[in-house]
Amino acid sequence: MIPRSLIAAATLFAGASTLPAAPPVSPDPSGVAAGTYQADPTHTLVGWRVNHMGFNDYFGLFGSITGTLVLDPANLAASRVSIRIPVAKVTTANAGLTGALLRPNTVGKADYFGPRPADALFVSTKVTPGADGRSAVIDGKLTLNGKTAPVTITATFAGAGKNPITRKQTVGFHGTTTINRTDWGLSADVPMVGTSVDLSISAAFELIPPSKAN
Amino acid sequence: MSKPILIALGAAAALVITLPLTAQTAPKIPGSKDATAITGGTYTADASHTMVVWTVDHLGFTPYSGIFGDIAGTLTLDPKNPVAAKVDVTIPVSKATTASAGLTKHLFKPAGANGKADFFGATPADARFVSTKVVPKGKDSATITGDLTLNGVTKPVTLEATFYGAGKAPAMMGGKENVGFSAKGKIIRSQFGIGYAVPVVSDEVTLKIYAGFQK
Repeated sequence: MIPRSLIAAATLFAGASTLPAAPPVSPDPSGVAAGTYQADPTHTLVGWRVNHMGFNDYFGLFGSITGTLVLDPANLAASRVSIRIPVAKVTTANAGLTGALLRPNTVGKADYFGPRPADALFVSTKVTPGADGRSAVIDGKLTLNGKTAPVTITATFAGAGKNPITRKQTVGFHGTTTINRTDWGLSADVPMVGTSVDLSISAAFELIPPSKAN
Repeated sequence: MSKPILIALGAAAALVITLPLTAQTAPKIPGSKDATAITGGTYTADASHTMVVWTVDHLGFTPYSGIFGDIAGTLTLDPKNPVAAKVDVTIPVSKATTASAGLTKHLFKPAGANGKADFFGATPADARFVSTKVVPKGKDSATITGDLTLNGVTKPVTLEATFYGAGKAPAMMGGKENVGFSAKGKIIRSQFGIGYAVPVVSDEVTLKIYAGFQK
């Protein structure tokens, strides 16, 4: 967890004479360890952005994301990722809007997620490594609001290394995609709220020690 | 099923099909990218649709973002004289939101025995950005320089702003004239006395602003 890890960091650094000059992370993907990784729920986010009435964009977040990544740098095409997103924990900067996203269904009116939305799931079906050695196109299936439809994510390697606080081997990615929310039956307030939703994904994965991976 | 009921159902179905087409025209999105739709004047920030998304780098592994919302303020704008535009917004730091309840709590952790809080402390003052110079770029962008007061420190900040859309909201939604922008900027948080966990959590904070103004 961020707070605990930051407190741990503060405790660690309080005893040290100087802070590290830079985070202990390599931007070089060739050093990434093969194995099964687990999503770090406090540092994995899906940011979403929609057009509001043609006047401005609106931004919100999904967090507390769990899941696994099976990664072999020598065979990136065999990578698999499976992610669970607790839709019920959607975060916006406006209590009224968060309430609207989770309001009970209204008869005859299209809604957003409703009061007890099921977790959304993304399961990769194909990973196509990029020629640059640090990106990939991830095809997968997104289940949201009881419907499953294909999604393609453009992912970029961000960094890897040993987390100095958790001591876990960690690898981070950034991803982007655009979905049409009506493909998942989420048609509330169309067209005043845009149907096209830009997703910006920040994902941190921690290596599960091989003895615990099976 | 009896014939009268079938006829009634058929009539109901016909009503359902025809009513939306005849009684109301399909709703149309009111905002357009046409800058000539902007009328001049003093606008007020649409607090529920104006936000600052901040992003820091966490250990070099991943970016981490949170949101400031409920932003109040004014924009004075004359589309014929954009260089004279002025913006003054107040950001309630105490309402910062993240997707992690634990992190949000840490942002407002009271100051320790040394009097220094890790981030904003228990009762942060509102932040304020007041523009000092607007330099138009192309037909729909501008560089906005201003003074940002955050955590009791005032420093100049430069934002690259782009016009997003303008138009009149439907009468049933208030009928106000709206103009919206997106903007990007960067600050060095240690310059505002918020240097906790640098560099494990980056000193540089990227700001993305989504702003709607109404009059």
